[in-house]
Parts: sequence; structure tokens; C-alpha cells
Amino acid sequence: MNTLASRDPDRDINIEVPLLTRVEGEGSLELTARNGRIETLQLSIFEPPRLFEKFLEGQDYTEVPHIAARVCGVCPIAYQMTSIRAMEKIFGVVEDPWVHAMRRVIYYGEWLQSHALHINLFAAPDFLGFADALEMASRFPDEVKRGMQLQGLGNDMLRLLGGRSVHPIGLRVGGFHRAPPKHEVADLVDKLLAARDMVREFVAWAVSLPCPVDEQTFVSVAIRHPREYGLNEGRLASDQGLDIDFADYPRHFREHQVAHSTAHYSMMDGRSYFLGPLARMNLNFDRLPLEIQDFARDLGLKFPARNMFMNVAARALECYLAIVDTLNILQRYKLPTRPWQDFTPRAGVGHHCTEAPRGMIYHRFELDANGRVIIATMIPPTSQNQARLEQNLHVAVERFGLNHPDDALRDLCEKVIRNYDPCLSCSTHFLKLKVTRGE
Amino acid sequence: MTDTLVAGIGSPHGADRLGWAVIEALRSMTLPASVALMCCSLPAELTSRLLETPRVIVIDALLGSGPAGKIHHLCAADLPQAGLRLSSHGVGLVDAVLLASALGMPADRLSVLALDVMHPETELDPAWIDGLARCVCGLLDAPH
Repeated sequence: MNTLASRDPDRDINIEVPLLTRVEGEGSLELTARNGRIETLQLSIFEPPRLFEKFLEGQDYTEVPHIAARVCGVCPIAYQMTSIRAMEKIFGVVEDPWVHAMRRVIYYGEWLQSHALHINLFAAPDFLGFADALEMASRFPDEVKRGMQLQGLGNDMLRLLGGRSVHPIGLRVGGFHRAPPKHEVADLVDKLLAARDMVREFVAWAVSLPCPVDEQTFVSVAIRHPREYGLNEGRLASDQGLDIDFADYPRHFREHQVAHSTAHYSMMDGRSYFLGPLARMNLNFDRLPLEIQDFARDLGLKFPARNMFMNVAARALECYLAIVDTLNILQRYKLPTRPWQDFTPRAGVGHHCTEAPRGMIYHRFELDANGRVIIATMIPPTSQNQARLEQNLHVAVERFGLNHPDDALRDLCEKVIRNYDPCLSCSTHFLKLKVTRGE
Repeated sequence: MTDTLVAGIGSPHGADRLGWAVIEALRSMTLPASVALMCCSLPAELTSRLLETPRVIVIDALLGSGPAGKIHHLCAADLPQAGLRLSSHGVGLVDAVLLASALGMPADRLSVLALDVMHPETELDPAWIDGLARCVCGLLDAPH
């Protein structure tokens, strides 16, 4: 290996990764350094703008969940659920306990399939020194199969309530189109029970991966709920004292454009902030079921954590949570009289946040008296994380040292980026006709 | 006990719905009880099925050079060279099969029936769906 050989840190460094792999969407990385100082370190997202907010204008509220789901094939529930809850607030719908519980189940399905995919096929090859999951599969076949089984279980959870795992069709404003019959729920409960030991082994394995240590200073932001692990209801909180209603999001969070990326950058009260599994765990560890808290402690985990790569451990613990909490809900399953609530469309503005697998997502909808969309705003986690991610890259590269060979610097940067599990497609949510590019 | 899985890959719209349309056609036919049918959106979901099912027949749309409607019968080894439509999130059918192969899938387990639709917007001809359904039945009748 030549990666440990030292190089002149004052040399001219020009590293370009034209297309990042094992992330969703299209983006590149540019690192230039002169005389021992970083000049440019940018994650450039060149995925074309998606225009979904404009597509939604003029659409009936009933169409919104189906259109919003198309923003992302990995986390459609995040887009559906957040838009549905924002519109329910306009219509005065108070979430029914059955609907609330089932919404958690389908959201957990999305977390499980997304997290298992990321840990298994995207992150683990980084830490174990393989070029990709295919190469890793030949050395760790049982581990890869286990990750795929968990991913498949997440898809089963999505299908139970959504009808299908990609762009589910079961959700509607007011609840669900269909309540699954008891025998379908019982089948899933059997699978969840069978997966309980498996997910503990998965967490232990994920925690044992030789992750780098990358201690950083950052602000964690996530949903906090009085009783539950923040997912689809609660308030927005940070470890720096933020505690606001979702409707106050626009007062604290601001987006701006930069020349090198089609994704927006987001700041909270003028500062970057961090979203995702580690931010959630830092704020909500005490909301985990006790068996998961105890298991985490047994594995030597401690939250809040400042090592960015603890994102992997947090993601794995959330897989465990997805199975335990879904079991808690479905083992007490009762058929509802009807799986949705009635309401009358009316004009207004509604805000809501939920926790997508990659972090908090914010939606604001303004509807007319007939329930048609006047303005839609959908701010995904990856664009909110982008400023923090670039700061993370700067600090990580400076600490690692520019004296390392270019290949080692490139590997480090790619690991840092993949650690966020970024979705570069959904981050490109806005278009301005005039874009001013930097010098 | 399932000994053969027939999986149609696709989505609800355009020529990409071909795989699902063939599965729907097969649902109206009398097939052996040991045959399972599946509409699949994510090829990544196939990897575990390829590892656990003795025989898998996959139906997918192919964006080739024509003529439209031409059926290609492919095996696992053909896939990296075939112009099968790419799937989302970097895990397409080829990736799913390569991963299953790396995890020990026997090479003769998989048959792929890929029909050339040439363009994503091509309107599906009902005769293509019937033809693919007949091909599936032919494979089910043949010894494996």
C-alpha cells in the first residue's frame, strides 16, 4: 500500500472525483490545495433541478401524495407523509391513534430498507477496504445476505400498508386507503420476530466495523417527541437549545444558492447544522426502548457522540428500533372501523416536518378553498446537510493531513460524503431561472 | 413450496410496465401451484429470491436497437453485455444478478426474457404480452 507514504503537504493538489459512487444521484467532488492550504473543497451537485414544487402548483390535494412520492424512490414515505400532515393541519385533521401508529410502521419500513441498504452495500465496503459490495460479498457472504434480508423486511413493512415498496399508494390525506387484514399483519409479525436476533447481530457487526474517528463540533437538529423516538410528530429541537413548532421553521432556517451546486444550502440562525441518524440519536437516545438503550451500552456506545462516523452505529440502532417498535405496534393490532378520517378541504397554510432516513424534511403547503395547491415548499435533508458536509470535509482533510497521497485524500473525502448517505437527486428541489456562477 | 419464481420488473407507466403486464396476464392462466408470480419494482429485491428459489424467470423491457417486439432469451452470463434498462439507485438487474452470483447462485438458475421496446415511451402491443406469457409457459413446461 502506498497510502501511508508521506507526500509534500505544500504540493499543488488537484483531486477531482467526477462522479461519486454508492450515493443516490449525480454529484462530484473537487479538492484543490496550494502551499499547504485548502483552496477549494466542494461537493458539486449537478443533478438537474427536479421542479416538483412547481409541478404541484394547481394540483388537487388528493394528487399531492402520489406526485410527492416521485421525488425519491428510496424515501417516498418521507415526502408523502410530510405533505399529507402539512395539508391535514390546514384541514384541521387531528391524527387518529390508529393512523398515527400505522404511519410509524410504514415509516419504519422505509428506515429499515434504506438504512440496511446503506450500511450493507454502501458504507461497509468503505470500512472493510473493498471497492464495492460485490467484492465484499465474496469475503463476507453471510453478512451481505443478512443485510439484504433486513432490507427485504423493510420492503415487506412498506408493502403491508403502502401496497408496494416503491412509490407506495396506500397513504392518503386523513389516513390510509386500506387497513391490512389481521392475517397479513400476523405474517409480518412472524417475520419481525424471526428477525429480532438477526438485527442485534447486524447492529453488533455494524458497530464493529473499523470506522475512522472524526470528532467534530456540530449542531444536531431532529424531531423530539415527549414519549416516542422522534419520527413523524413532535417539535424541532437542537442540542443548542432550539425547541420550536414546525410552523416556526421559516423563522430559523434559511436556504441560499451557491454557484457550484444545483442544491441549496441551508442555515439555521446563520449556522450550518446536522441532520440524520446520529443527530436523532444524539437528541433522542433516551426515547429508545430500554432494551435498545441497554444493548447500545453493552456495545460500548455512548450518545451524544461527536465522531461523525458514529452515524453508522446510529443508523444500525435505528434498524433495531424499527423492528422492536413495529412489533410493539403490530402485536396489538386491531382493525379500525375505517382507516381514514373525514375532513372538509379549506384554504390555508400548513407546515410539517418528519424524519426521512437521511434526516429531517420540511414541507409547507398553501392551498386554496378547493384544496388546490397554490405554493408548495419541500426542503429535503441532503440540501440541509450540505453546508455541514463541506465543513466536515474541510476539518477531516486538515486533520488527516495534506501530506497524504492524493488517493488517500480522495478515499477519505468519499467516505465522509457517503457517511451522510446523501440523496443528491432529492436535494435538487428548486430552480431559479438566473444562476450567477462564481469567478 | 415454490420451485419457480416468475418476476416481472417494471413500474406502472410507459413501456416499463411490460414486466408487470406479463405477470398480470399470467395471473389469469392456470399455472402449477409451485410457481410464484411477482411484480417487482426494485431489481435489488431479486437478489435474495435468486439465492433461495430453485428457478427464477425474469421478464423485463429492453431498450435495444430493434425491431420492437423482439424477444431475447438471456442467461446470467449474458446480462453484463445486454442493454437491459437501467434501474434506479445504481442497483439494476445486472447488479442484482452479479451480487447473487457472488453469493453462490448457480449460473443455470436464472432465465431472463427481455423484450425490445426500443424507447421508454413505446406503446405496448398486447401481442408482445401474450408472446412473453407463452414463452414463460414454454419454459415452465421444459425440464429444468
